[in-house]
Amino acid sequence: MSGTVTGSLQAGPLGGLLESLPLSYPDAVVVVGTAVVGFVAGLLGPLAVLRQRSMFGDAMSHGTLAGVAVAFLLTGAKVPELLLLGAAISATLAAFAMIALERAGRLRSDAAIGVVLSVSLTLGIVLLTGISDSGNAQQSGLDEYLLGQTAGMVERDIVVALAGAGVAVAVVLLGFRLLRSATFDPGFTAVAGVRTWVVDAASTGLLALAVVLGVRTVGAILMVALLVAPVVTARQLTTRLAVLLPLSAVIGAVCGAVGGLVSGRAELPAGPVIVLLATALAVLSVVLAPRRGVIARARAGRLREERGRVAR
Amino acid sequence: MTDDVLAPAEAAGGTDDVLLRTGGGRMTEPALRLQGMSASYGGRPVLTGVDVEIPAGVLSAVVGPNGAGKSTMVKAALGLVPSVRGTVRWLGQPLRRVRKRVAYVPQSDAVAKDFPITAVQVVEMGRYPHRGWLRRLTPADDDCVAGAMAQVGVADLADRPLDELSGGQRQRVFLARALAQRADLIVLDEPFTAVDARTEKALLEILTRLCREGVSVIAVHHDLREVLDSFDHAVLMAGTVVAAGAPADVLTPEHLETAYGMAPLAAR
Repeated sequence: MSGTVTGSLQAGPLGGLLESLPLSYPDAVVVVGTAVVGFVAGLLGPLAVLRQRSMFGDAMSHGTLAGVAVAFLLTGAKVPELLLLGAAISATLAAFAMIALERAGRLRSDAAIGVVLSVSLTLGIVLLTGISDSGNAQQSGLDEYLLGQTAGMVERDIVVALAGAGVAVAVVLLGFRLLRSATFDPGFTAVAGVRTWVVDAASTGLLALAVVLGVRTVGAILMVALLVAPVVTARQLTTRLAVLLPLSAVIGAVCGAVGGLVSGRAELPAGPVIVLLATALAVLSVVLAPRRGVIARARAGRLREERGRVAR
Repeated sequence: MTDDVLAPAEAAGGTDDVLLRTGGGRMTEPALRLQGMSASYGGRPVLTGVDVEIPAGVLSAVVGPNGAGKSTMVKAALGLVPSVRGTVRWLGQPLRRVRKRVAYVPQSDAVAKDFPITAVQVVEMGRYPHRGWLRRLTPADDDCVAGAMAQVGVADLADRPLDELSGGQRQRVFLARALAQRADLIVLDEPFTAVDARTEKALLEILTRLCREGVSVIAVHHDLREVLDSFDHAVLMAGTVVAAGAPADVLTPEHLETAYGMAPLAAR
């Protein structure tokens, strides 16, 4: 981290915010950047988890690798925005491929996901390996898209992530009821006159947004965990979607910020650290949550039994 | 209750609708009319040549063996199945003209499991077709929701999470949603699976009462005995319509033989 080039240390539009944190400037950039990425993943993760399409999100994130590689091959340089654009295009292609295999190919959805996930990961790895063997001096660091990296994160990355977060929050706020109804009861919602394919397309697009923003920090292989784990944690703590979404977003942000900072200091890849943290919280909440936790349920069950015995 | 504000006739905004619901007069249009309807799932034809008319204001059952296309017929008519041919008329109109007046209660496994939603939030969905998906519900909507929940005996469960309710309580909540919609026609897909006998009887009583008030009810059902005892009308399916009319005329040994290939209803 300390080796970051001086060019990225110049304070940009977020300088004031970043300097107000009790951290060195590079650490502040990582913490804020990963927090925003985690926030978006936590906010949009429910679109995958509650629709029982977590693996769909996983295949989309594996799909980003090939896009990153192709964008690099076409431009011959590591321009972050262009690499993200490549990631977005190939993630969208992966989503279309899965839908096409399901609809036209009449494959079951788990088979369609399996095919797209393995093909896109293979393609991504073949391309990245080819690039790294090409001896292009520019290529070093492309492999960080596999497991994620926070080193080299600059203020411009935060601005891009904030713009994505703004779009995500706006769509979720405006379309909250629609998203809730269409996810909970698609049949009723369609009969009521909603074109559910529009909702499907919007939520797939939002999922692509979360994946693309997170893929460099968390890595294509582990991105799905940051989409799923905060939702699992939040779901244990609330029974309302209106609470679940912000709660999951905050959990994602905290995991991102803490994990990003720790990984930088310990010189570990960011993805595994963030994901371990998020998963640990999920496991804790599954066991300890006050109402829905394993322990609370066991206790409630025993209480019912005792009451039953007394009644008899 | 604020009936004058929320009467479905007014919500639908047509003078015909006022005639339909006031004074318990004769219904001019059938609840559902299908002409030459066919539907397929994944290229496999499930329904062919369906011609049927279900009268308005009656409790009607769609019955038949597994795979007979009962649910498919209803879902296809509601536009929930991709490849459908033929003419569909709900209350004499194409569905898009009468969406507010048609309430749909899907099969329990067509609803997301373990979804973070409370009972009252489910019932509130019944007001969305009237109020739109972006606007807040009004106090009149809230009254309507509370009234509907009281009517089916789930008022005290309003703030309970849906996944903590029993199968019977859940089904009452979904019926409350249909009531909150103040629909003229309620379509239920297998409403009594995962429901205890007491709730089934209570729900059936509510549906029967609604019919007496002029609401049409169409339920996909598999309990032939109950259809014979409690329903006004039945449609027997086996890939197409075998027979339709009064249950006693439809559920005859010959018709059942055709549909089931045997006699599932032993003589009394």
